[in-house]
Amino acid sequence: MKILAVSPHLHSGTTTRVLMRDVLIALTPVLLAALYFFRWRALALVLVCVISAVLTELLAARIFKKENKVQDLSAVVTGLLLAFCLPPALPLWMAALGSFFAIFVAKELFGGIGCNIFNPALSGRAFLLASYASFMTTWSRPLDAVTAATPLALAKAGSAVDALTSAAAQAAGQTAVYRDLFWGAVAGSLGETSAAAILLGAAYLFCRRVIDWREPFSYLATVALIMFLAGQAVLFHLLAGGLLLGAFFMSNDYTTTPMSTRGKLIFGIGCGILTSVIRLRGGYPEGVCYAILIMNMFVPLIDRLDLKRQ
Amino acid sequence: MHGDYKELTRDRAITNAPVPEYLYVPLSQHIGAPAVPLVARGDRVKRGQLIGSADAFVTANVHSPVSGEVVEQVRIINPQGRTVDALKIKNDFQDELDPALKTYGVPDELSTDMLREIIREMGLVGMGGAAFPTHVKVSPPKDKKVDTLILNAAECEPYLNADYRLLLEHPNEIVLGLRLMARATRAVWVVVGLEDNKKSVMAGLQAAGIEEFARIAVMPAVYPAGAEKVLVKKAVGRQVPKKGLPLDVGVVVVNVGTVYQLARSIQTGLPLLERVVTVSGEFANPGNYLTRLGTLYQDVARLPDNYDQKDYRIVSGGPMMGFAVSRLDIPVTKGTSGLLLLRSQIFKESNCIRCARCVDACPLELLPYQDRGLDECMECGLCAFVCPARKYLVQQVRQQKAAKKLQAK
Repeated sequence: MKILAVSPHLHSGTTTRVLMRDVLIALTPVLLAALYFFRWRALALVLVCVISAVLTELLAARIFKKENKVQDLSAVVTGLLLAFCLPPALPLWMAALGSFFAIFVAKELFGGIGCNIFNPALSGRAFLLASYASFMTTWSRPLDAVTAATPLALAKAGSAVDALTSAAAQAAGQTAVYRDLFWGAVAGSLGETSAAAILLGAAYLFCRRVIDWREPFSYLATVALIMFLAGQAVLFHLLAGGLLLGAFFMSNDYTTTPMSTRGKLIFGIGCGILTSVIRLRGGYPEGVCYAILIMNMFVPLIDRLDLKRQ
Repeated sequence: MHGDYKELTRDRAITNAPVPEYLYVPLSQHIGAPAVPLVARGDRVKRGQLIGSADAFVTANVHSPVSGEVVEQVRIINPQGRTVDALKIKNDFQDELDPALKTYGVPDELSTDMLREIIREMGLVGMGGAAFPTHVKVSPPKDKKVDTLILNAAECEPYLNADYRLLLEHPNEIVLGLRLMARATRAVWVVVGLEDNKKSVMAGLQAAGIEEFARIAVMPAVYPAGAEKVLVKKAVGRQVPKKGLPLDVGVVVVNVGTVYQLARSIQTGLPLLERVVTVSGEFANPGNYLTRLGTLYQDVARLPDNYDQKDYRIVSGGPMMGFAVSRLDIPVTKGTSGLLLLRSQIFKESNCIRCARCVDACPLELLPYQDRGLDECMECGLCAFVCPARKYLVQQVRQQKAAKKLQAK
């Protein structure tokens, strides 16, 4: 066949599927850390979330009479990310329900890939948190799975770890606690505990130019600045909770964030302010999920700023 | 650009393409009024003889590339896919020169007005692809002042090496042509905009004395470094206004092939009759060929054995901005920089995932995913090249431009 088409006659070869595959590669260290710290619970949750995400995508294609786009791997990414922000002891059927909500309601009802307003994985998590609050806030200690509180929750409750959040204690040297926060041996969601694994995955995405620095760094810098001004331990707040996972894998989700440099910076700074405010003043110990979801709502508005400039 | 495929023909010296028995010389190989034929069926023509000319300012003369006989005036598909008038000439293989050709003596004694007249007579156009008549470019209107001449030595399109080979093999002609072009434009500053993957030509240009009057600006080899607006910004730091021309900031940009041709025309007295064409991609004879204008593609490029079994697209020009054509009985014209055979597939668009690669890639800082501000789009193709959803972004721009034109009518 001889092909006539408008220029350009070359393509970079980087398709949506290639990008999603790169994200999956980048999430592999996080997956390995989750498997190490939370054992078979991690395996079960990840499998349930990914499989139900893919099945929901197939179901949606059937119901809406659309071409099924499972091969673009985006549903796999959503399932995996959702599993990474769930507590290890969550009943599996709840995880499956959250995955269904993420794909069916947050993504497919809005038109499928590229059309959703809210981050699907975070929508799934927010749905579960609203529906099953106690299950979603019951955490377990890594390795032995004994019920335990997260570092952020302890800090919020003003208990023993509270000392850690003061700069003075930091200077006195709490290296053991920081070591655990860095490698991931703390209570928390499956994929959020190991800063090392997240940073390794993020480094891969930077090198492959899948993500850029604008949202993650404006997000992290804003949190760091506010925590510094509030007299909190900056490093603790950067490493604890879901901030790194959110900053490198969710605050820069293509579809649900702005497209211009300025817009991306506004988005990251907004996420940073909201996360800090929730952590310092809100009812929840952690604010990453809601911060990103709330900022998702402003994306159409932020994008309009750039249209005006044209 | 990552993977520019230039290595396929980079080291292949310019050789003469075979001159065919029949040549099809289009009367419009340029932007502007088509030339009116000055010869008719059965007329004898000599090599270099003026065979087409128009009574307009924006037009270019057309000359016979061979000696022989005018068979007839025909309609033929041109490299842009349009049907145009052409003169079919039967080559007598004598290459008998037209006795009316002039000689010009010492090149450096030619005045600005004489140079402009020579450029017009010789039928010079921008040989990078657009084929804008050069005498128009070097004769700015009275209210525009030109102070800078830029030689566009970027050749940023993947695959193409026609300009690179000229710079490497003929530095003396390039330097002479550039000096004359500077006089023709009355430019004070002369800058050579060179991509950093072509530094190997610098020694030759320096030995030919280019630094006596020009500065070489080495730019990163990032497509589209050779797009006029990008080049002007990179080479001399001036911002061409939206919807404006380099002329608006006192700059004239000329092509390597055009500058070379000016020097050759003045040395030999011959007008623009042939050009270097890069034949590359899957064609069986990759190389850089000095080709007579009016030579059909099939006479210069040889098809591979598997041509009928595989999916291919034939491209006139570069792969980013060139035209896909359906056949090989199309003549090489003044703007034909390359002839490519590319393995090809048709891809379906998928949903935009808002990754903003198009926004980051656009050299004019437009928003390719939005249907606004695209009047000034130069169709460099970078947005569609990087789009993970394989959106037909350039096609949309062209459709919108065409629709606007129709509405205006």
